[in-house]
Amino acid sequence: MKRLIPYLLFAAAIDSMAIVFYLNTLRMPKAAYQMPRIFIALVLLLSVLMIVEQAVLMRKPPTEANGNGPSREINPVRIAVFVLMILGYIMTIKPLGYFIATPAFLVGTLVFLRSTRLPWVVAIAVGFTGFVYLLFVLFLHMPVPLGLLD
Amino acid sequence: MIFDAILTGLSGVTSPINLLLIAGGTVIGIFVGAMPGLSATMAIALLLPLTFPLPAASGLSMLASLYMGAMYGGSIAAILLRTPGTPAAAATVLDGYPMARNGQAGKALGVSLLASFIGGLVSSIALLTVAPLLGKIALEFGPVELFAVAVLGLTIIASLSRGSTILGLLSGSVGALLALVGMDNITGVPRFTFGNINLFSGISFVVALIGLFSIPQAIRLIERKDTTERELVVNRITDRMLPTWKEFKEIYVTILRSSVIGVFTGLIPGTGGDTACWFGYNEAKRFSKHKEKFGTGYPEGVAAAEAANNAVVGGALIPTISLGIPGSSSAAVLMGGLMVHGIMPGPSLMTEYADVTYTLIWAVLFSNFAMLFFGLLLTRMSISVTRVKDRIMAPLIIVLCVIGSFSINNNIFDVVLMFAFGILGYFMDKLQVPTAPMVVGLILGDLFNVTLHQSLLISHGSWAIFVKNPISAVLLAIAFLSILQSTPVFSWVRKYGPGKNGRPSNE
Repeated sequence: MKRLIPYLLFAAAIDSMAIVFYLNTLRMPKAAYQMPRIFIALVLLLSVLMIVEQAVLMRKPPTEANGNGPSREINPVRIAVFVLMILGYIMTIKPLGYFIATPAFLVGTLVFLRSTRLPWVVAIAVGFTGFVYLLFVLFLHMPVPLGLLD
Repeated sequence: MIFDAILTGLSGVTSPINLLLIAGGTVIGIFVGAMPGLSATMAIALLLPLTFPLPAASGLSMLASLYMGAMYGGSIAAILLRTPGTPAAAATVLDGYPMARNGQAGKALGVSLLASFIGGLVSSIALLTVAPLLGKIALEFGPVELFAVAVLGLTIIASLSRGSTILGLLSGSVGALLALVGMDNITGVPRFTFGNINLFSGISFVVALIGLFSIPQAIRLIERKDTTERELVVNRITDRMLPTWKEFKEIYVTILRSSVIGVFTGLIPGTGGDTACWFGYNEAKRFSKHKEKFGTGYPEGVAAAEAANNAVVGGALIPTISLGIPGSSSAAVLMGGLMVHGIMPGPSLMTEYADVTYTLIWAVLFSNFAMLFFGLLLTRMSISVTRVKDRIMAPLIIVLCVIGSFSINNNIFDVVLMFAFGILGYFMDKLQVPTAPMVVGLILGDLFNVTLHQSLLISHGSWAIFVKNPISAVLLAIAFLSILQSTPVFSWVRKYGPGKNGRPSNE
């Protein structure tokens, strides 16, 4: 049963999206809602079939092929912190500016992940930000948010 | 007409800038492929924004060369580290690693390079000859046939992708539904935008690609509890790389067989280098007089796997270019490259955008020569790349994802959307829901919408048009069979069907 929970949550998430989309189609002309409604129906049907299939698979002896086999051990805390750091990076790009947020993110994550020694961390962060500046700003003339540097 | 277009493509590809980009793309591909954990698809998705300021033909030539280079690069880590650089090099480990342990690392890499070169060359010739012919047939297709092609593309990729058919179809349907977000092309009505102006132009395909292929990969690099670093079997290559003529004569039949296998595997949507390498390896073993030598450091094993995975490149591009249905995840990303340059994949590629298409086809052919040249030149140097720590690579990938997705519209909303797709992709990966069908759904969603509307206009609202049209009926029947073959019904038929042991047949 425990293995079924992630699938139930996944089904709930995509079904919720499909239902919200369906309610949105109620205000559309036929030509606009025809195709979306077909896919909405497919999503709802297939998510139910997915749960049934996984429930049947659960009853079979565990193997790598049916996804019940031993999986490599993961570190959920590290993943959660890393994801939060990415989110923080994205949210600070505009107020801080790309060229402050990027080295800060790189130093933060490389230190958190214990990638290498601090002088190397700083060198990688500065060097890679410089590389991105050269490539995207100087070569490709791409406008990036400057934030505090503006 | 076709011959003229082929010559136009040849003159396009031989321009200095294109040759330089082909060389650059190949070198990047070899290095990216050599880094375990980084796939060709991810590299193409991340470098896609770099092609925005370039002419379409030049940008796509670079990406196609990267695809080819990464296929060979994957074997470097497979041979030296026992860890395939890309999933397509998984079968190379079986004989490549024992060869390296026996002091034949150079020979293993040389056989891999030569097999990759021949495999790529065979597939490029197939692409140059088959794609125009298939494209010519596809030009006759109207909306009814194109709708059926889209259905076939989605069902085949869903039924052949990793995981179950139900999960594949679900992933494809979600992708197609998300492709319908934004202003409807037919009625001009905004769909599923919820008043958000950023969604009016729809979900950018490139944003979704970068998120789905790069963020999960970056997270996977840091997720393990065990953080021990990889160990190199050899620190430098001391033996000769290229095989002698006598050694080549022993493996060339295997290389040619695997090349053909690779082309056909690539042709089928949903199957890529990861399938072809095993297919090529198993067939080489089946035909070999020395079956017992496979897995012990036998050059034929390396040649079989590597020729097959490089031959996929050209094969996968055949349905991509002629029909608009990607043959592999990497081909899907290349399709994204076409779309960002305003070129809609499909039959029009062979007419309206023939110059771009044929330049791309020639670029695939030329990239083989670049791969051979830079492979001989840089393989010894690329050993150092395999030493880069995963925990350093992961944050760097994130930085490239962010700048890449931002560069599309200079909009932070796209970065947030990319991140959301990335998290979705990571959970899908954990649940073994394949992401390739979602990408194909995102590509085909609009084609479904437009062709369905046009078909129903032609038939005055009758759905029977899809079965009355012979081409459409055949394509839909194949689509139905592709789903049926992966259901318990098909296993039952195989077990108890005519002439089988289960139950006697009435015939």
